[in-house]
Amino acid sequence: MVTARELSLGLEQTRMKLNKAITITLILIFVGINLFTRFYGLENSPASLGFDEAALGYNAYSLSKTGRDEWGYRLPLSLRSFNDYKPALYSYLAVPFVRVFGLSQASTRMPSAFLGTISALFTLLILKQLTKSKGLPVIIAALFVTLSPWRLHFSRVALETNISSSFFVIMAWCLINRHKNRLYRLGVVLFGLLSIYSYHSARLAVPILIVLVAIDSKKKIIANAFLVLSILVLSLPIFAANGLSVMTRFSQTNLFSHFYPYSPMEVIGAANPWLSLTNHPLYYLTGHLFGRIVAYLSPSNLSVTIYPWVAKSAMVIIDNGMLGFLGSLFFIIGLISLLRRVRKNANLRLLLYWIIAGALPAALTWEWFHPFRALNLFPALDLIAALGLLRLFGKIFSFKSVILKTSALLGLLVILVMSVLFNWLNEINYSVWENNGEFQPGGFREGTTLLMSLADKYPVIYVDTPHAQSYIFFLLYGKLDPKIIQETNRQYRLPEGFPSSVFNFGKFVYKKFNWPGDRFSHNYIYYTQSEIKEEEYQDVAGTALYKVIDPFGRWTATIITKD
Amino acid sequence: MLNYPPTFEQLIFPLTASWQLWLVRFLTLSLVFVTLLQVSRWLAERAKVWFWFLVLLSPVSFLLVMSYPISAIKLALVIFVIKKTGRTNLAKTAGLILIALLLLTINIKIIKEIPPIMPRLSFPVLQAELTDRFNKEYLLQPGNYIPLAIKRIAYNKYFFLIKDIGEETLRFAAVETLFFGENHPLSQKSIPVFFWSEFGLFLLALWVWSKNKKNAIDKVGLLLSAAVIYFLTTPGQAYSRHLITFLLLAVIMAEALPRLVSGNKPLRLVTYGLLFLALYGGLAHFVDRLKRPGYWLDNRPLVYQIYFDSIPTEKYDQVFVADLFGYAAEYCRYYKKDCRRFTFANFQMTELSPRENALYIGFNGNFFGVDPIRNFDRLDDLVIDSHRIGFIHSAFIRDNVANGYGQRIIFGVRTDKDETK
Repeated sequence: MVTARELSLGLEQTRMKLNKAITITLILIFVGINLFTRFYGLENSPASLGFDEAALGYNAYSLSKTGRDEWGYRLPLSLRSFNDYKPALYSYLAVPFVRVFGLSQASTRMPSAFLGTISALFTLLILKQLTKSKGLPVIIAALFVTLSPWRLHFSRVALETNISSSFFVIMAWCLINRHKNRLYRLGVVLFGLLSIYSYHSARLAVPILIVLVAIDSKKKIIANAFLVLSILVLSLPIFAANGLSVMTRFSQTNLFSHFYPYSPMEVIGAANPWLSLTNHPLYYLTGHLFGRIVAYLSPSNLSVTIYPWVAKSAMVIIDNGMLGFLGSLFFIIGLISLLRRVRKNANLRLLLYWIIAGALPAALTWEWFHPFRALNLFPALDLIAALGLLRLFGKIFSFKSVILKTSALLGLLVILVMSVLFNWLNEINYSVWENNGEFQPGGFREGTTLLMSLADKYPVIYVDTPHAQSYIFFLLYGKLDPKIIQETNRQYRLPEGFPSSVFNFGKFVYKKFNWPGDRFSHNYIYYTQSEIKEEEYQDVAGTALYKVIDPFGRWTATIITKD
Repeated sequence: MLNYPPTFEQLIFPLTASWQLWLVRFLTLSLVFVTLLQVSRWLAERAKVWFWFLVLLSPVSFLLVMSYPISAIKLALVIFVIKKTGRTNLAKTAGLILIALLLLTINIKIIKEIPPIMPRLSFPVLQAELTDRFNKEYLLQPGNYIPLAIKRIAYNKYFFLIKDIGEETLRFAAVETLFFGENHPLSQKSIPVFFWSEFGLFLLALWVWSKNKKNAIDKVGLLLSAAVIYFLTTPGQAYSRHLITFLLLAVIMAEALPRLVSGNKPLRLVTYGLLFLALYGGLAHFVDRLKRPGYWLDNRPLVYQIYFDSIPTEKYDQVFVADLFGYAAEYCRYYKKDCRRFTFANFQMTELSPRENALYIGFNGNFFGVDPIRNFDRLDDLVIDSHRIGFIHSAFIRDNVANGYGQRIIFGVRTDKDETK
């Protein structure tokens, strides 16, 4: 095991060794801060649930009430949801929160926030083990990286990839300690499986990491092979549950078909690319693949570059990037520190294998940099950034002048506090403005509450919205009985029988809003996101109009009742 | 590729003929050679040949000589200052300040472009950014309450200044620009600085450097600082902001390569494999550049070449040239010599009454109106103010060089009077 001195962090000069009671207190504070930053204001930030978040939340509600998902499948391993077959583990983990706190935005997000905190704790434990240091700087470094923009962002949204990443961290910790006793090896299998059952990417990332570590260790081959085999065998049920849909999705997103024939078409012309001597496809394909792994080490990608496919998704972290500017600077320092010692230290090599295993599943898809699919690797980047910060602490402690040392240390701590606070403020309030896009449409939370309070006396609720799959918001925010949707979905159980993403259920009927015609009908309630001219409704008998205002003060939808 | 038209940097010199352009290129070649020779002198004897291999394989060297004399001068100046800088910290700081001042002066006074770091250093801009944040967060209903005093710790001009400078500096570390220009994820308009396999060489080189402190040459630290300064103070295409980085990376790899090729067998195999792929990358990109120079190189010189070198303009009393990039007068001098009949302004045909026996040269947007949403391509006659504009020549230019103005360059003349009668 490497020591802080071997890592060249210079921490041996800190003289900040802490006794057990202080260490435990500091760890409790560490957990408390992580917990608070993830749970505070979870109901209001992000302001609205995304489609996938709502699906996970409502299926948790459905499972807790009926033991079946929205499609009526009993205790499924995979949720059919929008025909995208999400791994069901997130919803199962949300069941206790939904039971205790009721179905809400916050309870839907709580598993992510909770496991995000657990992941932070295990990151600290791994860092302590990597550096063999018990001083305060390690806790500060761990606190800084566990409050990084990506950690806060993904922990405050209900996403399967975040819980998969959290289980992955625990598995990595068990993997580092696997030689200590059998319990840790069991931990590798258990948490590896939990990661696999949480999100698709882990199905590749978990076995790859264990195989790379096993190859590296060159001893206890049988024990390591047993680990890999156990995981492969025990993960078969999830492959059986949604393997086909995952393969279909992969066929649409993979790098190999997207860029074929890899060589630039204008250069090779109509000739067979595989016969090209000067611009052979294999050269370009290898470059694509290599670049997609390297992209996750690019400091600019980790801090400032926002790709178009990221900007339009739940992955985007406004004004910050995944690690933030300071985290990315520490990452560069940490990477150099890591390279210095990687040859002599197996645990540090594990970080490199972790990067390869985490990046590879995402690298096989066409997008250059896709944090969502590569979230398993980001804790490894955090650890490298923490090593960088510790290296900086070490450098400051080596200053001979006390004044210089104190002022440098104070300056660094002030910037760390500002940076962490900025990450948090940016996430919980400001980014709401930018994040609410097509994937987190505003207005449903406010609109559904009002709609349901008015809807009792009407036999039909008409809905007119441009959002596909918007039914899930009415189900969740209206806390509708799961039996209603299960009844409707039974009609579409076969995949080919699914007519479109928009279908009627219960009293809800999807219908294009047409006031000139509808004004003569009676006894209905309308939820519409079409543009409305208030004056057209003022003098129509039996008509009432209610504006739905989203968190930004914008008139986002209208509810019209006609008696 | 050899006949690529002169760039703006070349026309800063008062060129009026092709032989003068080649003279500038020859002088640039001499300057670049002397500069590279100077850098190679900082390296160990066995590393020199690798340094020359790496820099000559890169398209940057070729392009620097062929098209960018001012950049070559800046490069030479930076290397000269680094050469003369002493070893004390004070001398190094003074050297870096001098480099920053020289670069800022050349970029602002001669090239007349604002360095990308400058807008980031403005306190009024930062203040506006902060006010916007406070306002938005205040308006959010329901929002998450945070006491103002807490917010102020992070939401202040000084932190935002540090953050903005930090972010701009991190753009420097874009491996995509430096090593993956061949298949850049954003199809960035630039040329590859190094080929993708050379990133593998770079990682191996870092590993060698981190193992052996002895081989750290004194100038690398200065080169790194100068590379960051150069990046922050230089506007332009991505690769042109990385000219010092290009030398720095070549030095790092070259210094490590002798050790890598004399290492154990697997290491030798990997190194030679990567070198072979780099060589192949050089060949592949050379062929690519030959076949589609307009894809890789700055398109704006091509626009001016089409403007002034496509059709004879002598028979027109007046020629109106849409100057979208600001260098039309210099290009006119180069191609036409006598430019008295030429008017350079970004005209809008839909708002003008076309003159008799006048030629109008511009993009689609100059004739049909600007459309910022799409790059439209239109070539039907235009009726303006009861006159008809007929199009006598047109050329399509790839990529979106004139945003909102389309990708077609049009030569229009007034053909009839009172067409509508």
